[in-house]
Amino acid sequence: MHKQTVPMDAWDGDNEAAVTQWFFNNGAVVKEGALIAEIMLDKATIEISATANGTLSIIAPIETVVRRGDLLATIA
Amino acid sequence: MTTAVESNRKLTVARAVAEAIDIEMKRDPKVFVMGEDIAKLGGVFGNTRGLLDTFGGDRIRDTPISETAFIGAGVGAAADGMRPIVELMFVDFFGVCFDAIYNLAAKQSYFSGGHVHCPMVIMTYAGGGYSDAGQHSQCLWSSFAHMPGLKVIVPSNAYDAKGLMISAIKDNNPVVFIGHKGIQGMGWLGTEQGSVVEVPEGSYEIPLGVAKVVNKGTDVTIVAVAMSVHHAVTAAQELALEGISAEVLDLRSVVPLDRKAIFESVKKTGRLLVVDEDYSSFSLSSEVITSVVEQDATVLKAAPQRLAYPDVVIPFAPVLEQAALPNAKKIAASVRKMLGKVAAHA
Repeated sequence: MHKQTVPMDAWDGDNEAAVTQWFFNNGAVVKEGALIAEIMLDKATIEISATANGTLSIIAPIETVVRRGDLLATIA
Repeated sequence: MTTAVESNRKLTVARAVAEAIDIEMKRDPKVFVMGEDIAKLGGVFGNTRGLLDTFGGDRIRDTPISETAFIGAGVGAAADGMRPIVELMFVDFFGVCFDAIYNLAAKQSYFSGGHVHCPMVIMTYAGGGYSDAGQHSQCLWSSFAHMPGLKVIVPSNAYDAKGLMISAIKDNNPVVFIGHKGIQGMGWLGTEQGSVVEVPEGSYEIPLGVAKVVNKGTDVTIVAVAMSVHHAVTAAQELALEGISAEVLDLRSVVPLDRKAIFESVKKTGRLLVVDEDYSSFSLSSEVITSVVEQDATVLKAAPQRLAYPDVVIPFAPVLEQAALPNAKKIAASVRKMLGKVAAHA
């Protein structure tokens, strides 16, 4: 099982961001590199791409507050 | 890619429109985009995101804040054989450039005996609900629809938005393509999730002027566009629990208006409720009701009703704005009243 997290280089510091969109349903099969989610930091949009192939299980639904390194989903 | 391929990825309306423009710009070198903040920023509501990197500054052009000039330039470019897509950020600000739209763009083909077309797409954004007050929250699609010569498209979801935009770009007439801010998919604005749907890869067209039944029913027809479609579907689900079967018709296009689909649905259900965020009087809601009544009023079992924006300036105060906007609860209440039923206890 692969852990899809907020990349540590997504932004500097310990600021909080929010998950604003998922581009696949929970349980969908995704391919590595596909755009799967958006998170928002101070009105700036950060795109999250899948870092593995497999079935997506969303851990952090829309409006979840996240920091760098937080778990967004698993891909198995 | 020239044909659509099914995909399980979902898109926001903004991403779907950007993909449509990308496909058409690759197919036809005459297509270009200009407008305020559409290049580097990708449009304040996201419809042109990523296009500058792909096509460069000659075809994806930022303009000054001079609507009269750049809408006029678009009409001229279209007369000269180009296929411009011109974005004016808020529908509220078209006042300064209407001469180029309704005296030139809308009449070009007729005045020239069909020799000079106006294959132009005017992109803009409408709708409120987030307290942006009276000059940033209007819908105004009925105002464009009132003037012959313009097509007016108002999608409710990403699948329709992509197919309708491809059709709009290929159309030889001026098309006003209006995005509702609440379904664009901008994180900072909030997004009605019913608008984020699976969208095929590649090219497909949805004909302009064809409505879609998004919820089948037999007791009442609810006609809507854009955000109101989602409110209507929510209301229909609530009403279904009470044994009321509501059909929801998403017009998708204000002009051409699919009068046939409206009439066929109302003929079946016998009742009509029009839900619209645009102003009530002299409007889309007036036209939809008229199109049924003037064809055959005897199909109606109850007087047709509308739930539209009252004829007042849109307030800034959140509580006042929400009180004026249509929503699912108001739709359900209107339907119950038409059927002479009282609300089930919540």
